[in-house]
Amino acid sequence: MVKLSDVSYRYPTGNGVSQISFDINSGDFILLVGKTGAGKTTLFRLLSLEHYPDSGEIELEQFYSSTIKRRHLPKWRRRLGIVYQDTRLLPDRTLLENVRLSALCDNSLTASPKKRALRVLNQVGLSHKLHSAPTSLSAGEQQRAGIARAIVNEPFVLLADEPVSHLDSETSGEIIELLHHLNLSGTSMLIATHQPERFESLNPRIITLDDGRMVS
Amino acid sequence: MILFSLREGFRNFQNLGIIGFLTLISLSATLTLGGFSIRGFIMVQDWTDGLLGKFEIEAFLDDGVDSTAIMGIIKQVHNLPNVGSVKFISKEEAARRFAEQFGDEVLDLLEYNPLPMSVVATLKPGSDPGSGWQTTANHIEGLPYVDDVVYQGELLAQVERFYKRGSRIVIAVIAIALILSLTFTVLTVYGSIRTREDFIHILLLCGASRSMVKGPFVAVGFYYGVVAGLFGAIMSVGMAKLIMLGWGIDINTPLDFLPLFPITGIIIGAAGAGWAAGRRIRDL
Repeated sequence: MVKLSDVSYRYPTGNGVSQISFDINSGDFILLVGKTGAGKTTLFRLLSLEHYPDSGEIELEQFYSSTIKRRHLPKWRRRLGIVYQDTRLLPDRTLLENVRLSALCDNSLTASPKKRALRVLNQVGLSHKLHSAPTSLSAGEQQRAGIARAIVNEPFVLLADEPVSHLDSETSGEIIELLHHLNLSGTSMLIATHQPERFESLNPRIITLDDGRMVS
Repeated sequence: MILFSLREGFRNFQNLGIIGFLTLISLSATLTLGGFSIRGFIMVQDWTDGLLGKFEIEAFLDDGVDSTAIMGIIKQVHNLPNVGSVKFISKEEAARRFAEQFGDEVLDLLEYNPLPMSVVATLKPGSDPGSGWQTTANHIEGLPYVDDVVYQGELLAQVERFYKRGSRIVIAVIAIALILSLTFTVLTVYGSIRTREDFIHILLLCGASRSMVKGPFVAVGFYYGVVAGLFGAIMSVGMAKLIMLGWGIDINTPLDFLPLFPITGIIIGAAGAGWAAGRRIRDL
């Protein structure tokens, strides 16, 4: 379980988030809704402990943001899978190498990194593009590859930052279907979006942010 | 993990243009310079050893000293630090040596042998000339039945000064070269990290341990060490041989120290790279 209790963070510029509290339970599908600058990305950075809360607490399984030791950060992050809007696939390696790189970060799982990479690439429907360069893929395929990389270490929750915002409606429908499928197989979802209507059919829980505050 | 570091490190190693080239040059130069300096130092040491082995301290004994006292003096001199061998010269032996040098006429004229008995101490080969030959001589002079001590003090002092200056120059040259190559290695790794921030960021957020993230950059230092070590070994041995042949001296270079070049290169490269990677990655 992930639990945020009164989490606040301010950038030196003054932006940030203030007194955010919510839980992510197993199997949840949550949309984080808000305009650009509402604090969605900041919240993701706090969840991945790229930033530490100025006040409040984030709890992830047995770890707490206020007391976690630096050496335990990898364990914290392995429980999260992060999908970026721009996918951030490394252009100098193939799809399989990109996903395998992420799989190498967690050697606690029984299957080998390569096997896990092949499995998730098959799961997201990219088994025919294993040796392709990311730049040769379509936007939808790149997003699928980003998702494959995020789930290869079997995270508790997938954090996806605007995963469909720059995709056409057909491709975004496929990505949403994929996310729904992954959610049904047990991975919790926290998806930042400013287009919640695209996810309506999944009946998600919605958390709305406005100017760094939770309004619903 | 090691394979991952080596593979990713090789990728970094290949992609480092001009800064990487400078690192390779500086590290190779350090090792070559180090090799030259050490080789030169060994040559000077061999020369001073040979010279020191010929130095003697002669202690003239009082007349009438009995054999037990003489044995005691020989034993005490032999036990002094830096003393290699001790030889006793009797009055008869002294007279024979004198006659060999100056003829028997003077001694015949005197009708008696005025030359004293003496004990001659020779320095141990390889002994440090700076470790107090004056003290050794003073110590011998202070022994009972020793009348006077004669030795080549000024020459010894010159060797000592030369030796000390040589040691300081060698240490300074190696230290400067080492600092330069470490600086270049650190800059190279900084550059490498800057060009691969995406890679590092992805690894960190996927839950890679710090050592896994650092590994490929330490491996860069490792590769530079290996390549620079090989260059350094070839340059040191080959160039030394060429220079010496140019001076008409054929030196016999021992080859058993060659593995020291890549080993030293790897230590310098990996240490510099490890330090730099640790600092930069901690800030990311």
